[in-house]
Amino acid sequence: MRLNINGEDVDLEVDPDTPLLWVLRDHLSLTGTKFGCGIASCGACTVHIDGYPQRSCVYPVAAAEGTAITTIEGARSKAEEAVRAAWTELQVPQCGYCQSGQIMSAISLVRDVTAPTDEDIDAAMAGNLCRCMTYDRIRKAIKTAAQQMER
Amino acid sequence: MPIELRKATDMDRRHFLKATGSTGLALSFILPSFSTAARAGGIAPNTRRINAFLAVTPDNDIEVFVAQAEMGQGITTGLTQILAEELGADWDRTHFRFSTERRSEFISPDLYGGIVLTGGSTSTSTFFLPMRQAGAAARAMLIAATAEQSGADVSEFSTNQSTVVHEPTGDVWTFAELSEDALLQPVPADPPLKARSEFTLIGQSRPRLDLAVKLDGSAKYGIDHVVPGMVWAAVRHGPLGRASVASFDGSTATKMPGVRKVLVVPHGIAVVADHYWQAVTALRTVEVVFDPIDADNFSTEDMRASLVAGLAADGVEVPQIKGDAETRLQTASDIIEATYEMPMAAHGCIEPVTCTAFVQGDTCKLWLSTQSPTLDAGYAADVLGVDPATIEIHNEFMGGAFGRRTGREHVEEAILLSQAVQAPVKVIWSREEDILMDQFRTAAMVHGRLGLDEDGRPVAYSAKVSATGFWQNMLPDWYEQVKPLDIPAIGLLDSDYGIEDENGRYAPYLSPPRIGPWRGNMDNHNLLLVESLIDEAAHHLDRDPLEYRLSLITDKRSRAVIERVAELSEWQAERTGVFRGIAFMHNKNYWRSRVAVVVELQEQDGVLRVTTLYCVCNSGLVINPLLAKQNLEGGLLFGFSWAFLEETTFTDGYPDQRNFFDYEMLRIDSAPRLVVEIIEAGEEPGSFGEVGTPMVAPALGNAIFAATGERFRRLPFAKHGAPF
Repeated sequence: MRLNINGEDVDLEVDPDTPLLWVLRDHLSLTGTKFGCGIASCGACTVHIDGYPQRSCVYPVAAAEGTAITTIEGARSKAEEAVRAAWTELQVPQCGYCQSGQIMSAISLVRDVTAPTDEDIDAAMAGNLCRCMTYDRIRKAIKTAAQQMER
Repeated sequence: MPIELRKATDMDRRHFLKATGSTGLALSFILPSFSTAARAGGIAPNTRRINAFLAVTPDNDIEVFVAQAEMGQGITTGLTQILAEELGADWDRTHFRFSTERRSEFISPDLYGGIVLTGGSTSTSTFFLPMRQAGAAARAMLIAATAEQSGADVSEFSTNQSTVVHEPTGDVWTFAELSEDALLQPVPADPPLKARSEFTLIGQSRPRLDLAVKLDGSAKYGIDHVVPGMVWAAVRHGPLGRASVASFDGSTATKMPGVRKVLVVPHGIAVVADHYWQAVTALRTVEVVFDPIDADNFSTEDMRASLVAGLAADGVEVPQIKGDAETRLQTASDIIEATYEMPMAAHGCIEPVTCTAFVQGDTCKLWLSTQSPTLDAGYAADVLGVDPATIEIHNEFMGGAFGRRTGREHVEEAILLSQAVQAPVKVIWSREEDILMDQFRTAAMVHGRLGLDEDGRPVAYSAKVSATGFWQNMLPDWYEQVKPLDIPAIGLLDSDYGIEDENGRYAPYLSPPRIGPWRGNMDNHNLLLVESLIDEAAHHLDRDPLEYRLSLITDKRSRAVIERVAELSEWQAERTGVFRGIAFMHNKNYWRSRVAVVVELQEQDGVLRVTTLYCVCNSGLVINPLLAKQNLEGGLLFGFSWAFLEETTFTDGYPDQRNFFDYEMLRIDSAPRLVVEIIEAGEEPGSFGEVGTPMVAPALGNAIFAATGERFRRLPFAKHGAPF
């Protein structure tokens, strides 16, 4: 099986039903994408498939063949820069474990929605749990990143 | 004229070693095992370890060793900042390091006697002085080395930006140049510390040192460590997470791709495979029968009946009983009496419990997220029959903790499986197993009678808590020393309300499910009772609940946080459809903290929405206001999440909620706005990690009463009748 991950082709032998998450973490040691629930309920495993956020813990690797997979390690774009800069300015992470997923969801939001409202943020981010409860700073950071995108 | 420095000779070194056989702060000439991930690039050769807490690299970078676990509270930044202040370090070139050492300096003197443990929001208050002394001792030794070799008096030198400065001439030497000679100086037992007015780092909102690695996926958590040759294990456990396997059929699993072994572990069945998903899918095919155990049909209703029975029993005395509350209650003008209840709750750390073990001959290495490597080493040594000191434990970033990250089971499983397959094994519990095996927050029922005199002042208080203490389960050696005292008995009495006669009892409930620490601990239920009853009294007397509290409290700092939260929340402003509730905590002993919380609700068409949490906190000296605020923000929403939503119930020995779709925790779309302010006071730091949590539940209940005129006394509110 050939996958394209963070712009590079990777050949590997793996059961096609294996969730993409475990291919990344176990077979490829790309551990920035996190395991939290295994049922697409917490968002810690969020990656981009062809630019859109997907929960890799329920995404069979076979379905990712022929797509462009982007993980936290490989995210590079104007939106990614704006999000990381805002996350730094607002000092968002506490334990940080969910933040790879938060950032991947936020990149897609600020890229696709100009000046996101609170409702836009709720819709895009409610699938990403944060047990440290950094939600107040996430909300502010997304608005900061969105302003950066408009410049 | 520059001062010439003489280089240390071997003779000096031998002389020094002989002369300083024992010193206040331990010195180490041999570099111990370092963790490598805290800073990219590993530790530089010829780095000199000045003492337990710091080292200087040849490039003049300062490495600060932080043994307190980083669970998100920012301790890697806070403790580093304290040491750097006293040392006179260049902050931009100061870094923290994790360590596998469990040396005596890393033991918290305030917690359970003799273990390396991070808990109880005590890291900053406990290590404030040791970190200062470590920095100050190193500063004194660097200056002494410079003075000795230059012939100038030590009083002519100071440190700044990781250099020693000769004030009269302005000459400077880097710490790196001096570190070898500094190690030859005697270690001052009581090095002079800076006055508070001299602080330039302490009190500053410095950005978190762990931020960058948490934005690019490079931070390594317990689940992330890859050991060469490692295989993976999935485990399924039985009722209460305690039952043993009676029989199993793993015949299908053993034939599946990549499967190494199907093995019984003490409380379940495990599959070890080349890859994790192979282990997970193979485990699904294994049929297991568990041996019967006591209470393996345990249900929440059984537990509630026992807690009610506890309220009717005598119980044991709690600390700080004073006067004769029962007699005084007989002559009270009014008695406010009520029972409040909170359920068991899961920790729900987004990083599930994992442990990687590599047992090789006599050696055992563990990689895991842990609040106490000492406890883990004890469990591991017990399993293997070896000296705990031989167990090597790697602990870096934790994906949340909140009191969850101790326990024997995951450590034991990883060790036994590594022994069985002769390879490093990573055990990952699925979310369902993580919840089943949790050391849950205790459920609690609390009953109180508050006696008021003819002026409406509370003069007598009798309270009882029916709950499970975690010392008995988690720290049996400690419990033997203090029993029957346990966690729920603490802080039941001694509020700031000037109540003259107070009586309290703790009715211990032996919980079949494991019970452990949980952010806020006993203050979650004990102050829920006090702060709700005071509110009930205020409404009974037709008094404003905030003004009523102020009329009873004389402590100036306590009054100040309440007065400020009143301003921030515009408590006096009447607005249609807006309702508020307040709660206040003065934790005198272990947190040294005063916290006032106001919850603001809006009502629309009979449905309530929580819009804002206001919080003002005074926890003494603040090391880093950014970190303090982050801890308060997280603590507030954590408190809101449990008060509003969180509940673990059991049926037939298993939790009814096993993953995040049914164990509901707060998400961003329900998160209220936060307004947080800190009042700083005093010379000693208190705590911020947990103090935001306990007051949200009573403030929320009080706000619901303000909105509806109805008291809801069973939590979480959204699941037991409140109109959300």
